Amino acid sequence: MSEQKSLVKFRYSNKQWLAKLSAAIILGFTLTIALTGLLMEFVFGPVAVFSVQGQFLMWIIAPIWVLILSSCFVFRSGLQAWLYLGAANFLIWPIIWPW
Amino acid sequence: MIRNDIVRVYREVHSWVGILCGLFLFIAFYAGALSMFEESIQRWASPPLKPSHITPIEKTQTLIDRVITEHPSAGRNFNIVLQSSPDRPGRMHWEEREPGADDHALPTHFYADLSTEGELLIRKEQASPVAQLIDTLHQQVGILIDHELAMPITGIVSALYAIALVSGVIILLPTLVKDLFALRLGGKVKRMWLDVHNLLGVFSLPFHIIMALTAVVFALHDPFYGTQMVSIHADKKVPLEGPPAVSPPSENAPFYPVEKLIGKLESSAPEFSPDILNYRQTRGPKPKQMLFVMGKDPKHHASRPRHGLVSLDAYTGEILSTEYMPGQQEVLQATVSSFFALHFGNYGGAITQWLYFFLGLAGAFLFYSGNLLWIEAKRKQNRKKSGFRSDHFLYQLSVGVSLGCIAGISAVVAMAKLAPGAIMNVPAQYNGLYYLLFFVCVVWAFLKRSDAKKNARNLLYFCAAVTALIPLASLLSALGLLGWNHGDHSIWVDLVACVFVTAFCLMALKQRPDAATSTQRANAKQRTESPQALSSTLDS
Repeated sequence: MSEQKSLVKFRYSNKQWLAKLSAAIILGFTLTIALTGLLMEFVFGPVAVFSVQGQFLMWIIAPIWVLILSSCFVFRSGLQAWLYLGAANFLIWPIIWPW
Repeated sequence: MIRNDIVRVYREVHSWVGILCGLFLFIAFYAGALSMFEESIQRWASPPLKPSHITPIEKTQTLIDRVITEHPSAGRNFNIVLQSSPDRPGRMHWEEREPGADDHALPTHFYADLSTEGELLIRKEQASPVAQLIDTLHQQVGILIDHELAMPITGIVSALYAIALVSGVIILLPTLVKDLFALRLGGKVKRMWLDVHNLLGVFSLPFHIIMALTAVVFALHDPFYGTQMVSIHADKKVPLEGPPAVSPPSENAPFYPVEKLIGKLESSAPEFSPDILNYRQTRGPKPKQMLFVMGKDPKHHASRPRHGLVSLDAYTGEILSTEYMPGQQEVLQATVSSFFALHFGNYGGAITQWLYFFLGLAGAFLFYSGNLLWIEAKRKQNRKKSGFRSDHFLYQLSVGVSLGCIAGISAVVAMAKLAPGAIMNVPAQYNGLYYLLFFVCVVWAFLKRSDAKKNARNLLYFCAAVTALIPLASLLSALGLLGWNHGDHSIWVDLVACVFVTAFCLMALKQRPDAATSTQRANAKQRTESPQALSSTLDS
C-alpha cells in the first residue's frame, strides 16, 4: 500500500504562484526584518540606525529577502507558504520586539 | 539532483520575470556601462572654460575670505581643489541650485581664483547635463520621472532580476556541464541563442549577483531603513552619532592652512593622495564646520564613487574620523564600503573600469538574448495563430526599446557638441530629445508587422548613423567648424562611438532579410534528423 501511495507523488506547479509570491513579499519581508533584529539582538547589541552596524543590518535585507522571494515557489501550496512564513514571524518577533 | 517538476516550476518563473524586467534591465545596463566613463562623457560634452591663473595654495585663505564676502551662501559648502585639472579648473569650487530644487537637480558650477594682481575672478560653468541624463537612465531603468517615484520601480525590477538569476541557475544546474561549453553555432537558431545566453549568464554570474543585490538596496534603502527604525530600532535609544563637525573657535576664525594640512595627512596616511578639500557647515542657527578630504588610495577600494573620505577638524587639522578612508577601515565598515565599490567598479583603476564596461554591455546583451529565446519558444506555439501574436509583439517591442535607448543616448551626447546653443543646457530639453528618438524607434519597430526584420535592420543603421554624429562632431570641431575638442581622456568617447557604429552596421548586415537563407541551410542539415526542425524552418 505504502509503495502505491508514493507512486502518486506530489508534483510542484505554479498554480498558486500569486498566493506564494504575496506571502514571500509580505511575510517574507517582515521575517527578513525580524532576522536582522535577531542579528542586532545577539551579535551587535543596540546600535544606531546609521552606524556601521546599522548600515550592515540594512544591507543584509536584500540577500535574505531575495532568497525568500526566490524560494517561495517550492512551497507546496499558497496556504503552506502563508502558514510557514507566518509561523516563522510568530516565533521570532516576540524575541526581538522591544516591549 | 533537482526534481524535474521543480526545474519546470523555475523555468516558468525565469521566463516570466525575465520578460517582465528584461527591457528595463537592457536600458539600465547599457546606460550603466556608458556611465563607467561618465567623467569622459561629461568632459566631451562640456565647452572648455577660459583658462585661469590658479591661486597658489598659500593664498587659499585669502581666496576663501574674498569669495565668502561676495557670496555668503558659498561658505555653506565649497571645495578647495588641490590638483586643478580641466575637470576642475579653479582653486575654489562650489555649486548652486535653483531655489527649491531637490538634490537630484543639476547644479551650476562656480570656480573662483585670484588673479596675479589679487583680483577675485569667478567663472560660471555651463556643464552639459548629458552625463547626468545617462546616470539617471541607469538609476531609473529608463523611466525619466521624478526620482522618488522611479525608485520603487527600480526596486521591483531589481528584485525580479535577482529572482531571474536564482531561477536561471536552478534550471541550468541539471545540465550545467553538458550545456555550458557547448556553443552550438550554426545549429538551430534557438539552440545557439540558448548557448550564448547560458555562457554569458554563468560567466558573469558573480557580477550580476552583486548588481542585483546592491541595486535592490540602492533603490529601496529608504523604506528598508524606515521599517527598521520603527521596528528593531524602535526602543533602542542609541544616540545618533553626530557628523564629525567642530564649532569655530571664534567668529571668522581662519581655517588651518591648507599646505600644512596636506603635510599632516601625508605623514599619517602616506598612501592616501588627497584631491579635494570639502568644507561644509551643518544646518541650524549655530552652524558647525566640517571638513572632508576626498582622495584616492590606489591599493584600496573606496566607499563613494571614485573617492575615499577622511574628515578633519577644519581649524586644527586633526583627523576626526577615518571611517570612510580607504585602508583605514574596520572590517564591518570595509564590508559595507565594498558593497558600494563593487557596484560602482571604482577599485582597481582603469582595468576594472573597462571590465565593468564590457560586463555591462554583455549584461544588456544577456537580457536581449533572453527575450529572443522567449520569442523563439512562443513562435512555435503561435505558428498557426492569426491576428495578434505575442512573439511578434515582443520582437518588435524588444527591437524598438533597445535600439531606441541606444539612439536616444547617442543623439543626446552628439547634440551637446553639435548644437550646444540649439538645445539649451536644460535637463528637460535633453530628456525630451532622448524620448523623441526613443519613441520614434519604438513606433518604427511596430510599423509593419511583415517587415519586422527589415525594420530592425533599418533601425540598426539608424542607430549607427546617430552614433556616428558623435565622432563627426569632434571631427568638425577639429576642422574648426564648430565647438571644441579637449584632447584628453574624452577622446575615448569618439573612439568607442566609432567601434559602436561599426558594430551596429555589422549587426544590420546580419539582419538582412536574406540572412534567413543561412538559417534555412543550417536547418536543412537537421531536417533529416528531426521533423521539428522542418516545421521551424517553414515558420521562419
